[in-house]
Amino acid sequence: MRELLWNTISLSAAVTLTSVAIAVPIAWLTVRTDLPLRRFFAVVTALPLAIPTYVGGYAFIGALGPRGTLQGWLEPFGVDSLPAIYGFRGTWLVLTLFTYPYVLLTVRSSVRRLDPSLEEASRMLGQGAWATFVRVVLPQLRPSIVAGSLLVALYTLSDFGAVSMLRYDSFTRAIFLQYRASLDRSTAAVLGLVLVAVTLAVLGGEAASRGSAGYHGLHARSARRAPVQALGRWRWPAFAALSALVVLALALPLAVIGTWFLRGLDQGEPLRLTTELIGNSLRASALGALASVVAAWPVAVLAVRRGGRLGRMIETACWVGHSLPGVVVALALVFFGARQVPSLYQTQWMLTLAYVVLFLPQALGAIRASLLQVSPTLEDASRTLGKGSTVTLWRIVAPLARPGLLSGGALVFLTCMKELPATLLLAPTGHPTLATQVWNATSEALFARAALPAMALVLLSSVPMAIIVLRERDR
Amino acid sequence: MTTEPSAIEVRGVHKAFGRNAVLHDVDLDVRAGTVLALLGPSGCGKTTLLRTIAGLEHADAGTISVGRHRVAAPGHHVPPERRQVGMVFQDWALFPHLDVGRNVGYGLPRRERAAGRVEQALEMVGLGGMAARLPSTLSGGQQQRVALARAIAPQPSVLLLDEPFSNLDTTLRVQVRTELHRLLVELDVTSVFVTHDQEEAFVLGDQVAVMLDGRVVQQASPAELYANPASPWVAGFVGEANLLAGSAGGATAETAVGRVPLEAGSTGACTVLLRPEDITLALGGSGVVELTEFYGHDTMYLVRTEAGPTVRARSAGPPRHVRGDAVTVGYAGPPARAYPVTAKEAASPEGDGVTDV
Repeated sequence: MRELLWNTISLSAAVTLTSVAIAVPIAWLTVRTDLPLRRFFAVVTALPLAIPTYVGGYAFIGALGPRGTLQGWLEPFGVDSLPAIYGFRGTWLVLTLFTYPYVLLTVRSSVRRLDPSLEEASRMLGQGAWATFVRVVLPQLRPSIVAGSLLVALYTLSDFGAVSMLRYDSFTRAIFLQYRASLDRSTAAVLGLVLVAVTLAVLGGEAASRGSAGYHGLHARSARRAPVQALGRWRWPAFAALSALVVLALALPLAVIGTWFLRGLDQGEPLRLTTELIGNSLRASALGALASVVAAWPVAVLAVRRGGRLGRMIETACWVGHSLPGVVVALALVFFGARQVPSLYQTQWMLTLAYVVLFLPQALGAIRASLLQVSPTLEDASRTLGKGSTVTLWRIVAPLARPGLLSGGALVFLTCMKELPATLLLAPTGHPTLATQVWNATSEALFARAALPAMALVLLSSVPMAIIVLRERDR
Repeated sequence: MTTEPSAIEVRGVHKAFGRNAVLHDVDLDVRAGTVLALLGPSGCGKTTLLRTIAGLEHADAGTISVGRHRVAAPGHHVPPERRQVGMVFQDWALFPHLDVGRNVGYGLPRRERAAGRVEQALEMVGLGGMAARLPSTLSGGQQQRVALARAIAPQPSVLLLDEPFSNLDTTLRVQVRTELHRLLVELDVTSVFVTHDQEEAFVLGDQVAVMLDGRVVQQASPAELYANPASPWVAGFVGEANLLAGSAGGATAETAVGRVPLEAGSTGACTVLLRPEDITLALGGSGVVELTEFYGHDTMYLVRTEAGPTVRARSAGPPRHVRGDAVTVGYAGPPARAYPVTAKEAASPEGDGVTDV
């Protein structure tokens, strides 16, 4: 138990720190500098989020693992063993590569909102570029770094796919194995409770740091465009570093999956991917996204417009659900469904409910942010023009909050597509999704069989991902 | 184009946000078809009063009537959408997702929108043919006029304007002010507008209500307010004022600028209000010119009198004295207003010398 705890916490801390170390420089480079191909990198550095960690894990095992692609290439040169991909280091690498975009996206939106005149003031007061970055820019980015780190830390605590595939003993894997091996509910439940406690501790730590620093509510949009910072002799090294990252986090997984797919075709692997799998995935994710947006709308309106204790309480309750690991929520719903509402158990509704519990805050965050942009005087104006509050909500607030509704929905959709543990435990029998198919095939070491669903999953996930990234650029 | 203008009557209105009382026992009367300026420093509650009349805030106590309708009373609150009150917001609050025409037509029933009311309202503010534009493509002055057109299109019985010029730059402000003035006169609509600018209040208001700390301290016509402010504070707020410590003895008072006739007999310590344009300067004497400020149409002098207090004097035309000139300060205005000094005021250093606005 103590070992599990240590494994989980050390992994989470390591992944979070490296994600910040990778994401903050990228955010700066892709917004404020003369980096070559800056716009291209702005888009592709966010895309690894479209690759589920278990697909990433599968790709890295396929490439670097024993009997993997790289090993095959290197064998003629007498290299017969590579550093082990299984265990802490591999898991760390994979989780970092596919979760750092959480930090990137939050930090980048604050970099865009930075008021360049503050930096100019610092330069006028005799501070150099680096001192200005450390003393003026970083403190302003701190809230978004903390927010992004929280997402990464919570994700790592709850990740199930990558740790299972890379055989790293963390809580989620132990819980799942306990449950599957013996259907032993009490041990799984105890482990789940400990994991929940760890999660709440992380949440508490974040709240404490926020309490002392104080988030700025709405940043005033800077009046001017920030000047482009010349990188000078760092221009090409920065370009090389970002290219390496993109190769590692994007090109390599796609290439490996492609290779396995071809190998599978050679071996006469039946194309198990059917339109049915895609349909199941799309339906489950669309239902999850729709239900989350519908549920988040009243909560966001309540929290933003009415404020007050009730709004805050409901909002906090939603966030707690989000921070719970998927495997724990899924197990809870399995127990609940099997015992209390057998009519819903093993139906699409149960899975949708799990998605709403887990991902509603993603929609909530986006909707809330866009509601904050809608000035309350617009509602006042509508009222003085003879429209009641319902009409006002419908004709003024909802259209103006539409970007938030859309990107919130896209985000939930993307997350549902990638979600593994809850889908594994709750998807109606006989309705496998892309995610469960990839997992089943890889857990039986049938890498070639996993290739096509993995490819489809990544492609379908990149559609909502592209919506999110392009919307980010519009702003 | 509006319906019959309505009078506004506010009686004993209280309003608090949490424990923070913003309006205390406010009374206000706006006669039908006239323009009232609500003038006060920031944080005095003037915008809250306006929003309470609009129905956007609930009054905690007191009553508000618009025309013959009681719109707010204890236990009774007519929601803003049923008050027939038009409002122009400080930031104009144009709906960014609707074009100009749809903004203006927003408060109109479909039948009237079809009857060309939108274009008519836009013509009135000089924006005919702009209906298809988006608000974000308009200049500040144009946005303000769209906001105005939107507020008057439904023919409200009362028009409320919250700091209507504060978002315009200075050069535009005077021009827009005159346009608005002309429009308000043409429309013959009862209007209330909020401002912290004394000049705006005087130019546009038939009546001016001065607010301080959530109370209406004086309501009068601009000329009356300037000549007979209810307190030294009001005197300083509605114009440049010399508030000099004086000693009254019947019809006159001794001050730092000599003996001054008083409008009403008084005795004992008092504060005397002398407007700068009534102060005279003659070359030679015991006063010293400390600063000269040339405004184009006139010149303001800051003079240290022999008795101590500094006095502002204004004279038409270019400067006739320079810094360091020795001058004699005198008074050549109408009988002045004197305010008895209470014991508390006498103890504080305020109450003499120059009060700046």
